[in-house]
Amino acid sequence: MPEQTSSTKKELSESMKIFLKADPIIQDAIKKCLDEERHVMNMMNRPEIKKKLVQTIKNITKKD
Amino acid sequence: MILEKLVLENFRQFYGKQEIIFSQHEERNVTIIHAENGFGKTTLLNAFLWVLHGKRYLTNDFEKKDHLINEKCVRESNNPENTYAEVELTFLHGKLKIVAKKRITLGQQNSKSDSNLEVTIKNELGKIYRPINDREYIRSIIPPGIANFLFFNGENIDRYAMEESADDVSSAIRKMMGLELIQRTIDDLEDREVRGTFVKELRDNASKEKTELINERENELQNRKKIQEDINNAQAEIKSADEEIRSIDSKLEANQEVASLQKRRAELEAQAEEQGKKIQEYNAEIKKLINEDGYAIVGKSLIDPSNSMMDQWRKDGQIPAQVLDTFLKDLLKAEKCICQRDLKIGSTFRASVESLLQIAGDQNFNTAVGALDRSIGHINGIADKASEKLKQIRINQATSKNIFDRVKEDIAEISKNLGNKDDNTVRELEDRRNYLNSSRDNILIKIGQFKERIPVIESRIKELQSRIESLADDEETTRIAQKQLNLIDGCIDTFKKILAAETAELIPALTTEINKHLSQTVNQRGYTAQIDNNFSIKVINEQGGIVARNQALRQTLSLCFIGSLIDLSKRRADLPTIVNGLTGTVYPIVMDSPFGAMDLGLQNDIAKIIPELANQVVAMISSSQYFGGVENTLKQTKKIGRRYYLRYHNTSLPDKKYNKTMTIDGKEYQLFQLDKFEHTQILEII
Repeated sequence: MPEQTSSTKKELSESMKIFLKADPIIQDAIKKCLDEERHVMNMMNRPEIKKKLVQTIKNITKKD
Repeated sequence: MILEKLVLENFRQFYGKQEIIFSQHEERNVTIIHAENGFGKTTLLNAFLWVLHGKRYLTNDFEKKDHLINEKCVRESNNPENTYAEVELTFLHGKLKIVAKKRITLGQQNSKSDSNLEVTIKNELGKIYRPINDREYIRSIIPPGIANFLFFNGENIDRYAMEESADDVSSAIRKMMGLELIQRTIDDLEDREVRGTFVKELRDNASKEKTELINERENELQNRKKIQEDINNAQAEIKSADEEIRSIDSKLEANQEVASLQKRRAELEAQAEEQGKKIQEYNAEIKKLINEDGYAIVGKSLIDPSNSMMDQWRKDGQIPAQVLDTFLKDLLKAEKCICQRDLKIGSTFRASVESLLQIAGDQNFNTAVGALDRSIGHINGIADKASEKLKQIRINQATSKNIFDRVKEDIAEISKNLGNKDDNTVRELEDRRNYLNSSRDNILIKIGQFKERIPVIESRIKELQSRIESLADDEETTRIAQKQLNLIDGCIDTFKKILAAETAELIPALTTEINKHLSQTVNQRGYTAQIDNNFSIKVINEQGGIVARNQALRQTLSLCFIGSLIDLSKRRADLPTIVNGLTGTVYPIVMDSPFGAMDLGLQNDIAKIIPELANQVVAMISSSQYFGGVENTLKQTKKIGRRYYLRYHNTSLPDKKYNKTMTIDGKEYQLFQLDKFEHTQILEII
């Protein structure tokens, strides 16, 4: 699950509330998609990202 | 991003190879470049934008964008491939030293093609390497959407404090605060190769009925996307018209004969904007009032006849009931009246009491009468109060409308006046301005029409979605395809909500920062800034009234806004986000004519805060803006780390309006030099 950073840990931010209210399978997908995007952004290899996102969604639904 | 060095080679008036090394000193963080108007300040600013993002992102006031190579080099060229202009920018990004280099040959310039960017990276171990994609790499460090906030002309910067820039502002905030990652994820998930893959899988496996519904929904989604694109294009047209109008206004203000008229028009336009906003606010108040209490106002006419009827019944003694049926029934049951007469069955007295039952009411009836009385009273009370409030809002609205109309008439009069001037240039500028304003109005109407269509399409999409979901899938493959599509749509929807929430959550922090900067500039006037959810900035005076923002105030606000954004991006890690590991980013500011249209007092105020706007500040200032208050104020900050000046070379000396020399710390510097050809030289003041 994504984490909030230091100064706002005591009180949940609005975006965190939205995230936590979402279906757990959506939460899982959000986290994984963000990880993929960040990884690709750092590597500067963007064409691969779309394939990876499709695979991520497929894996999560398969598991579910 | 910390700027280290800018090297220009044959770039416009900068002949040969010349460089500027920027101050990286933590305390003395300001690099000043002194330059008279027309010497090359705008060219220097555009050198940054060109090397980072190419021709498309050059500023509007940078004329002849297709002629970047120095004219003397072009004239003397024997080989178009060996004649070129080049800009090289060296900067630090975290622990990396990055060199971005862009060269355009005469061949490329003649064919109007843009040149290639070449990026080299040196890591902390001294290893030098190239990124996989130079352009994408630079964009990941400094996206084009924020470059215009960091490298800007102070005279045009006031637009960031205007409502029509709200989209740019919100996009820049997202980019600078790292939220672009969420936006990119949304864009990628919505892409044909991602979401489209799952739609296709579902289509291929679903029943005929479901496939038709899916097709229809996808068409509607495309329609919505198309409308959004049309809105974006229309907004871009408005932005471009606004920029041209601003440029025309500057030209008119620079013309002595019409300067006062133009100035008066600018004031009137600020008033019209303020009144227009007020009218909108009154409309919103009326809407709110009608939503909340409108039933009482409308219902009053329906309630009034019932109320009269009740009054009549009350007068006739029919309500409340004079006698209760339970009381009469008790007497009949006991067969004894309270006057001790017998009420035996068949007796005359009993018949009399029984006849009273017809007019008697029960306790519930009386309670209901009481409740009805109270409700009518309550509704009437609300209706009276709401009517009174509505009346007041309408009076205020009419007052604003009157002022608005009067101001508009005055503006039209000024425009007519300018359009009839003998000066051809003024007339042409005014004609063009009128044309731009009328196109702008037409585009605004178009945007309104586009926006009206969105909720209709969205409701249709929702309806189709629920019909699709209600159709059961027989095959396992169809069920899986539906599940995958539901998941991706759920992700996109949640991501969008998260992005909106995270952007909105930055508003309080941004407001605090802006007010911190603003208090140092216009504190004496007791102004505070408020940012609404659309990132439109309002300035409020001590009495709580909205301050009409003239160009100077908008420039101040925009500078404070940029400084605040840079502060926030530096301490990104302390602000809430669901994205893990967002660290702070340092950005510099490069300003051409930072004092824009400000008066002397405001110039001083801004000079005080300039060094605080970013970790590194580069300011290009003309003598007319520098000497006087700004010079002393900047000196007192002790923040100037490096200083350069531009010297203009030509075959003849320019007219008298320019200073020929400039004196800094008692030393005189020559600003002009007779030479064999026209060019600009960069010289350091040590």
